[in-house]
Amino acid sequence: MNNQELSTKFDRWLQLVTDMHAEFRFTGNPHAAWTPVTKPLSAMKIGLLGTGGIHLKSQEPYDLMNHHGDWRYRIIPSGSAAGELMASHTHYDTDDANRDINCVFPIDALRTLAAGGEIGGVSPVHIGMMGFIPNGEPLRDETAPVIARIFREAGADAVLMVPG
Amino acid sequence: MCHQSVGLVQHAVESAGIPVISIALRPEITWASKVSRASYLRFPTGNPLGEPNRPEQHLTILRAVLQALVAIDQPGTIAELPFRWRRM
Repeated sequence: MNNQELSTKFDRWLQLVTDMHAEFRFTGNPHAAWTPVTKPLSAMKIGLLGTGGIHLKSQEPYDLMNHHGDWRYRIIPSGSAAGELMASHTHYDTDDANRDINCVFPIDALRTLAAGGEIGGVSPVHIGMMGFIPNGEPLRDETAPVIARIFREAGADAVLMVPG
Repeated sequence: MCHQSVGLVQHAVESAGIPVISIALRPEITWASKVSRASYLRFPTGNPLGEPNRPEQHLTILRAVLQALVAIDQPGTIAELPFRWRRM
């Protein structure tokens, strides 16, 4: 898609969402931030973040009733079994995700690549979120910097982020 | 809206010195968000890695996304991956 097509599609989406949530204001970034990749994949420890309402079944689910969304996160130990995880989200069809969380949060596939030496390793922690957050400002100002710190402290060399 | 949320967290993590790649199912939202790198898949929401209980499919997609992580060398690039959605 070229920029014109992307712009037209984005305007259509924005109109649709604003019709449904009058208070919605799109929150983007001022520019595309950039950190160059300096290692081969085989030397990189990879972290994972999923916004498909990902949490451990033993953790409190996200607040799905709040029309402002829920911008909290859940720490997912990367050794968690796929069956210990679930998706709580009302803005996409979670049937497949709750049959196999790897559809939206490839925790097993990452482990397989690490075991085979294709990636250097897996971050000790991953992050789960629920991406229905109409007001992006608390996410940007409060949650996002904390998540960045968690991945830094975990020693992640790169992070994969997956929407719902 | 998941894409807006990914975009904001991606910016923070990338700004903290960690390279990030995201998956985009709605590339127009990712484009408007301005992120470092993304890989566009023509898959439905709910299935960014594919279908349930198809670990080989998840591996194929994940490998392609991670290849894009190392291949993309321009900020703001959204690289389309050559997969088409077809439920088995």
